[in-house]
Amino acid sequence: MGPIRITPDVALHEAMRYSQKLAAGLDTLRRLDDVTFGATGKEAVYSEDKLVLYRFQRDSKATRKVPILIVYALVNRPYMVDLQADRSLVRNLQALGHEVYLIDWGYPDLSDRFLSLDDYINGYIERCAVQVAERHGLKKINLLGICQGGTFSLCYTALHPQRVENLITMVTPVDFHTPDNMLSHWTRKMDVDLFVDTLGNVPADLMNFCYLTLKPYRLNAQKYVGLVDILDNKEEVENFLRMEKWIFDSPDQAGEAFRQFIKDFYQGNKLAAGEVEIGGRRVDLGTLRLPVLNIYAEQDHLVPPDASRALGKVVGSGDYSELAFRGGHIGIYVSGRAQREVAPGIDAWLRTRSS
Amino acid sequence: MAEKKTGADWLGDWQALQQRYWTSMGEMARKAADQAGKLRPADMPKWHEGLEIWSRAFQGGRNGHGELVERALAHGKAYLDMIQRVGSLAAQPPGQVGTQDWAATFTEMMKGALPGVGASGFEALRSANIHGARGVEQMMADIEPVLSAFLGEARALLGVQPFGMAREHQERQQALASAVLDYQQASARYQALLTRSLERGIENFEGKLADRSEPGRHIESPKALYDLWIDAAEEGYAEVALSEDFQDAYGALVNTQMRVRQLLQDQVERLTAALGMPTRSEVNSVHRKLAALKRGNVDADALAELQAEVARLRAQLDDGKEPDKTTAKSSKPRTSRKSTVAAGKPSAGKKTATKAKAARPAARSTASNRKPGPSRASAKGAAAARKRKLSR
Repeated sequence: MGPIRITPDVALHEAMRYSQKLAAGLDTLRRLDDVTFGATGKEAVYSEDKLVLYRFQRDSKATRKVPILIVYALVNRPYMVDLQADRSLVRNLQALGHEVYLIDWGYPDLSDRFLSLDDYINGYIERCAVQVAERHGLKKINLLGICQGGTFSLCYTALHPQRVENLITMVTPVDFHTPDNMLSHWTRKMDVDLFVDTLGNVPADLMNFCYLTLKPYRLNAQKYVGLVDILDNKEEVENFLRMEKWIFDSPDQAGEAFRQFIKDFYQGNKLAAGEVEIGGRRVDLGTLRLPVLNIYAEQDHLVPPDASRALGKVVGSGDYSELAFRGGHIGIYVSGRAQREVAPGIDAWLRTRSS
Repeated sequence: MAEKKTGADWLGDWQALQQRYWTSMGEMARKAADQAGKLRPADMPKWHEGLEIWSRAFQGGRNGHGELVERALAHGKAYLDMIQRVGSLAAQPPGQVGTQDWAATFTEMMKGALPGVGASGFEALRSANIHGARGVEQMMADIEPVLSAFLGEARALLGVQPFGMAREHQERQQALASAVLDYQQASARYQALLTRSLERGIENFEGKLADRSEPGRHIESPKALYDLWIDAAEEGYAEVALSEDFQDAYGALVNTQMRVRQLLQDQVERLTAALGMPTRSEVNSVHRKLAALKRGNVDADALAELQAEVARLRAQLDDGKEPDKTTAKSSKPRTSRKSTVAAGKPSAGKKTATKAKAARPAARSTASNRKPGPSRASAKGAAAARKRKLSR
């Protein structure tokens, strides 16, 4: 006998089940409204160019003294950290007594083409960090950098150590040349100068295409076959739609910043080597002396675990911790496990290090 | 003892099951029609058309989620086709269908049927109606009309020695034609590797099927078979996508297209300049100057803050006081033309709000009411005020 034990009856049953789900989906989709994002009220406390710094509002006074500033990646929209009420890193941190701020980079257009990493890191992040610190009468704040925002946060902290009390990085690449880093592999032979000189800003649609082609069969076929399984559940379909909208809601990338990021980080792998220069100053992670918590996802296909874990080898801090999350690059925000583990993990780590 | 079935019996059983399926589908469709008021008797199901019925029925209930519905239906149709074929194979008399038959049949079916799993693996992504994702190849298709217009007969001139008054124009045309050929070669190489990745996926699938021959590891549902195929295809793809060949091919694909775009932009610029219209280079130049201007302002602000700080410290020294050490330790960022939004006002992007804090100290040459809080420059602030240059 061969490996397949599918009987015609089973095939029929599966076809019927699938069709019934589709039929139920008809009704579900009729009842669906447009999905919305954001579970937590927020107020803009500072803006500059297209950037807005938000403070998330809370019903009660924060019990933790030092606020957390979240620095998200440029390549996706930051509302992923507060996607919906039961999938919100922000809300979970708030529930544990933290005051939370978030930098929203906005959508760069061609007038932003010449924004450099220096502008982003020594300019925007620094000014936001000062705003947050001043609002709380503090000199230092806690910084939570996510993905590319984590890389930026590392650079920022190395250049402005006086501003950061504790640094938390989530799914953050540090070693860009791990053998399983497909994105990095693809960029290696790209002529980035020609690319940016020609395109100006890098179109979001092109970036999305790259991400989808990291796992083309799962992300473009299997995901939609699986969608039918939840079509009879309005809430699940709304969750799916919310994620789908987030995935494709991407900003274009400011050309100059993209040029340097690809050249120095993806191609040159200079961060781990301490050779990146931002605004004429060298970024040496070995100089970091503050407490660092590095959270990575064990099944991350965008930022492989080894790419994140490399931080432990180069950071100068004697207080370096890692938190391994059992999930992927997206699951670390939205999965049930993430709600149970990520914010509590951050809080527990901070409690022993910050007032 | 059960009577042994003939091949015809198996086929008859399968046909009966299919009939049951469509009878049930028809019943569901009738119910849906009653609810939606969309279906007529003429819409009753025919072979392979079940999903078309749902598609028509869904038209009344998309609520702006049309793309999702389209995708769900496209993949649902392919998936049901797969199940039907799997059922058909399963209906063969025992022993007549081997592992390789399953692998070959299934893969052939997947190649042709499943969106996103076409011969090159990217059919769904390549389709123009995918919102929010466009690859390098679609970008080339986008410029094809303009490219054709500019290329003209240039391909025919390749290799011909340029001469005469139009020599430079001819050279540019030849360069563009040559770049297009380079792109086409790069694209063909990239396609070949995608095809190779699918072949590797098939080989993986056969291997995975063989692994499932052990008792307790058999595949017992169409969904499990489908998922196994996806696993195998992804592994085959990853293997090729992480190869040196793919790295070279991907780089060449991107670089050659950028070269085509660059040459095309040059041609368009010449044309628009001749017509007295603004060019991309001019717009870039303006944006570059704006960026430099902003940085200059930021540096000027930082310098002003530094001067204020020095003046304040000097005054303290003149008064015989100890300099304020707390202030001296802190550093101030390069300030910016920014706005601090008054607390409690959710006003994203507003530029007119004023800072709800005390007025700034004096000695700010470029101070405005949109500047940040109290000035506390330091040695690091001075460093921040250094002359900066554009990264490019």
